Amino acid sequence: MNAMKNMSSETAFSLAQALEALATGNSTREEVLRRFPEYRDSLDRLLETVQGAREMPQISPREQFRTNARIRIMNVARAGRTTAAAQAALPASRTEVLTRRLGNVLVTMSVTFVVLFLGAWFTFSASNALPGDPLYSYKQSFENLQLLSASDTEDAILQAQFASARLTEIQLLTVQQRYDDIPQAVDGFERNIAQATAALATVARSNSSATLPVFEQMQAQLKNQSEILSNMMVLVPHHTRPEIERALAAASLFVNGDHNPG
Amino acid sequence: MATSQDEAPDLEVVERAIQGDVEAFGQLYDHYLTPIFNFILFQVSSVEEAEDLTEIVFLKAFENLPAFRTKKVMENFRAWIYRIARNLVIDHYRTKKPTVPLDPDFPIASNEPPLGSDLQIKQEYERTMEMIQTLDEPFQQVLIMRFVQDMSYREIADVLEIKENYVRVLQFRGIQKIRTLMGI
Repeated sequence: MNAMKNMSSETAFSLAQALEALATGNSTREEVLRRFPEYRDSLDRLLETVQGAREMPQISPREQFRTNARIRIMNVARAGRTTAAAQAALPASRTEVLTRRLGNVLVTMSVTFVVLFLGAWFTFSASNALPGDPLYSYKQSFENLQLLSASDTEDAILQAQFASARLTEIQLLTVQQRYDDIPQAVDGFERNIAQATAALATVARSNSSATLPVFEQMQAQLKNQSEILSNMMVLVPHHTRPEIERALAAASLFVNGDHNPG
Repeated sequence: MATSQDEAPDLEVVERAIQGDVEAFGQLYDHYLTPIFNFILFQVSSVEEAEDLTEIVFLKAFENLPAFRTKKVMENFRAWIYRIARNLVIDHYRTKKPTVPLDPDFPIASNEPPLGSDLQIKQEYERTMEMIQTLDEPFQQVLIMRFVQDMSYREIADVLEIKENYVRVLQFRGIQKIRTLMGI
């Protein structure tokens, strides 16, 4: 026993190889014992164990377990197969339809989002466009669309708002030193003032009392803007000043009551 | 004594099982039930636990068959299912330690040649099993797969997901530990 405990690593490794040969049937117990005579007595027990492990019979599971477990496993497997078969049978159709539907939804959502985004961006950009900008014509189209469904009173109010918008445009063009575009804004202002006046006249013929508050509101708004514009006169070059004066004159005519429907 | 590679089911059976052929999976179950059961029994020493774990091994195997195919290890179904059993036993030990000893009336597989009387066989079995069960997990599993299940180093390496040389090292150390346990 002590001899085996004190065996060198090299010997131990050789012994392990011999045991391996014994376990795999490539060597006999007697051959191993002959190879390591100095350990014969103690080695015999170890060899017996190793050989016993190799020759040990398999333990069978209990028959009841074998049968019942098989039934349970097969049932699960059949259920799994049903699922797998369903997936395999409808593979293409189910998956593709789902994918296609999902794809359509995503595409629709994407397109809708893009359209809404572009629409919002377009509307915002157009509403802020100034004369000379590419989107300015769209801004005028939007204004005309609003007038289509407006009543006479609403028409007067809208025209007044548009006239106010023209004055704002003139102010912005002045700030941006886009003097060449100012005449277009002034033309628009004169047009809006004329149409607002005409609309007020139309309303006044049917109900003069209803137009007075609208007219007064328009007067006050244009008056304020005229004062601002007048102050900005010094900012524009000389050749542009007549245009500003033209706008101020139109505003003055309206503000001073020349178009007063009352 | 254990299932040899020559007796392993055809790859065609494995392939059919992967395709969802329940009967093919039944063949695999019939073939691997006893060795897997033994592999587990050596490590848990309770028949009931070994049965429960064995059943779970096959359920997991069926569940993971598609993954097995994608791993392209068709030629080594045995190593794959042993790996499932091995991992299951490890998980089992993480939560519970076996306390029930081997059933003394446990049946010996009738298709194996007996070494002697049933009593002698059982004594030998218990002695070897006790010896192996005292080892730590990697040594225990290597010795069971190598000497009891008659698996190749390559297969054991696949099961344990280690290199073949390391399997040899574990086997060598496992035998040394047994020698120490035997006091020789």
